[in-house]
Amino acid sequence: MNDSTGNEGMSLHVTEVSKSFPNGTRRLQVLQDIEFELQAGQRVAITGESGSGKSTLLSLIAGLDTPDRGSIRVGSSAPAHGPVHDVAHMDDDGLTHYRSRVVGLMFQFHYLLQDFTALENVMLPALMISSGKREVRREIAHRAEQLLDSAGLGDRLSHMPAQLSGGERQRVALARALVNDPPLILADEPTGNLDDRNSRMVEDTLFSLVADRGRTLVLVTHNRELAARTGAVLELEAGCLTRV
Amino acid sequence: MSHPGVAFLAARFLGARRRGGRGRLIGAIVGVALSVVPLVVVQQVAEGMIGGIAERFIETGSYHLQAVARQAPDPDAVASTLPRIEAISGVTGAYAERRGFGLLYSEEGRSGVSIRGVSQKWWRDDARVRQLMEVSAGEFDLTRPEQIVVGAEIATRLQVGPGDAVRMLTVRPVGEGRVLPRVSRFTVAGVVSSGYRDLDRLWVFVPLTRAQRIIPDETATDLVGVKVDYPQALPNPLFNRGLTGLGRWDERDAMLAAAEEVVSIFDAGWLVYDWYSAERGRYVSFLTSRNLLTVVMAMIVLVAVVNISSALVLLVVEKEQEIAILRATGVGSRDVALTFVVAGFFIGVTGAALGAVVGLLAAININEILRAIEAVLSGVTGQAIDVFNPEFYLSTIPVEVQFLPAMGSVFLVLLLSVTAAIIPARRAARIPPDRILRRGGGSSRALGGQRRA
Repeated sequence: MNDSTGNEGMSLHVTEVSKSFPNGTRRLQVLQDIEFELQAGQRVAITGESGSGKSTLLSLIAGLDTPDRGSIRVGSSAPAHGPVHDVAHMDDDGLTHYRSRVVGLMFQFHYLLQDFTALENVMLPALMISSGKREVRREIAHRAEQLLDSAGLGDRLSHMPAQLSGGERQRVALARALVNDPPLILADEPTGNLDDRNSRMVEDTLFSLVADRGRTLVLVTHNRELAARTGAVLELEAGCLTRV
Repeated sequence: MSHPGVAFLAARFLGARRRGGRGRLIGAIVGVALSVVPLVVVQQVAEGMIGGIAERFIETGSYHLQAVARQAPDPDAVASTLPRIEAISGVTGAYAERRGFGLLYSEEGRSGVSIRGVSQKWWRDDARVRQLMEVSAGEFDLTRPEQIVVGAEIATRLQVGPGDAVRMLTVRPVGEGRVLPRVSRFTVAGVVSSGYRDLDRLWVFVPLTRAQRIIPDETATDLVGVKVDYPQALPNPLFNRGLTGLGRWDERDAMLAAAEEVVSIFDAGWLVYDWYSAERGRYVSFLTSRNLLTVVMAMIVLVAVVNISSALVLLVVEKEQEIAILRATGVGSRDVALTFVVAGFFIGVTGAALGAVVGLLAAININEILRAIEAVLSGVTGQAIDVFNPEFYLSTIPVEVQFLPAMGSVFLVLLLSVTAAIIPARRAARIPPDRILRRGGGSSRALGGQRRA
């Protein structure tokens, strides 16, 4: 692995991770003994055919689900980001803390809350973990505005998701993923639903904002061109890592 | 955990435009408001009714303090005691009275009556008596021994008015079960109404000296009635005074001190009661009725609050994917739960505030509302209808807004609303963040569908 761009990211150690799901009376093995490491600030793409387990692996790293076996450890060289997170064995409070402060998540679908403006969607994850003081709220709003501005949406702050294009929504989702300044960004097919032009805009924004703070990036994609931009590719085939 | 963040989220969830969702929430709010209205009205009207009736009893009947003689006292001795009592700080008046029973009759009818032998001074000096007892005909004049003042209902029943002659039959027990009747002639000087028909059909007033002659010692009750500055400050559960319900401590202390001094003037031949003790049974009955009504009304609130729970459960179902998104973006399960508890609180507080305002307005205008209802019912049925029969109730309900019970109702609703929100809140908290992945993206209309602009 290469392309370490800074010291604000977090290292990622995935060790012998397996995951299966019930399938009738049997279990469907989705991931089998996955093992890899990323240094802080590295960017990597996970590729593979549909059903190969890419999204499942990402959800395990994100702490949305737990593996059957193995460990996922996320650590930082920056003391501000706290100790090493043993994602597979954290309790609910630990996972909440991990998801809110360590990980920034982006999905193929934007998953914006429809009753909130673009600015509010971006602010919400920060607002929910803030002290609630007026100056803190102002600072969050300022940060969210800056992120949306960086994503080229400075004039869309008060738009509702339904008033935005697909590419704009995805860029709002990206700004939301970054609002708590997480050291680890996990993106699952972030441009999968977009046309070429919008895909390019989202990709550029993503790489620009990730590089800006030296964050670690794990990107799930079918798109080989996009994968190539990360500098490193992990390929999954039938739940097994075939290329590192 | 961020309370402003949770409140913001709850407010937006409640205000969200959803198919039928907002209607359900508005329904829950209106349901709570409608349930609070009768609760507040019952509280206020019951307070007003009890207060009004109690005030009439206190001011015109039982006095604030009442010293009752065990045996017929020497009238001169009693008369000499009165100035000593009136000299006590906090006492505004002291009056001797003899009570008994008799049968009053005229050529047109007869009526059993409660005879009250009072001095003219009682009527002249006690402004509260004059305020609460309206002279509907003639005047309250007991300066001559043959004069009598009768309650309005008695006057109607006997068909008498000022200047008419009536006769009073009283009896003296003479032993071995025998009684000696005595008939006394009176001339009606005036007709009075206390506004409470129960009193108006019982009371007749005669001069104290005449009462001492016609009511035999064996059946008479002799008492000294005392009026004080702040009767409601004497210990009682009827009047909620001030925000604490206790009134001012200095008034309370002053009245207790005055009461003690009054007690010290009377010897063992007298029993001294405060106004509440003197009519305890009656007041306890009033309070029990009020409490029962309040409990029944509170049950209605309970039913309405169940609506909050069901509306929130549906909200949780509708917002399932958004909750999963929030969880995925780092919102804790406790904050998710708290969001729905706060949502329940918002519904409760809105409904309770709305209901309290409407309830208070209805209570303040209860007399007009009752008149309107009576007018409508009378118009429909073609006969005069009294919603509250003034035979038993005050002809006009004196409603003075009591904020303490109204605040109690609002607090009860808030408590129940928050409690009702616990079940949906727990359900919301259990929604796992990976639900976002299981459901897939584009299918959810909740997540922003078509671009409009």
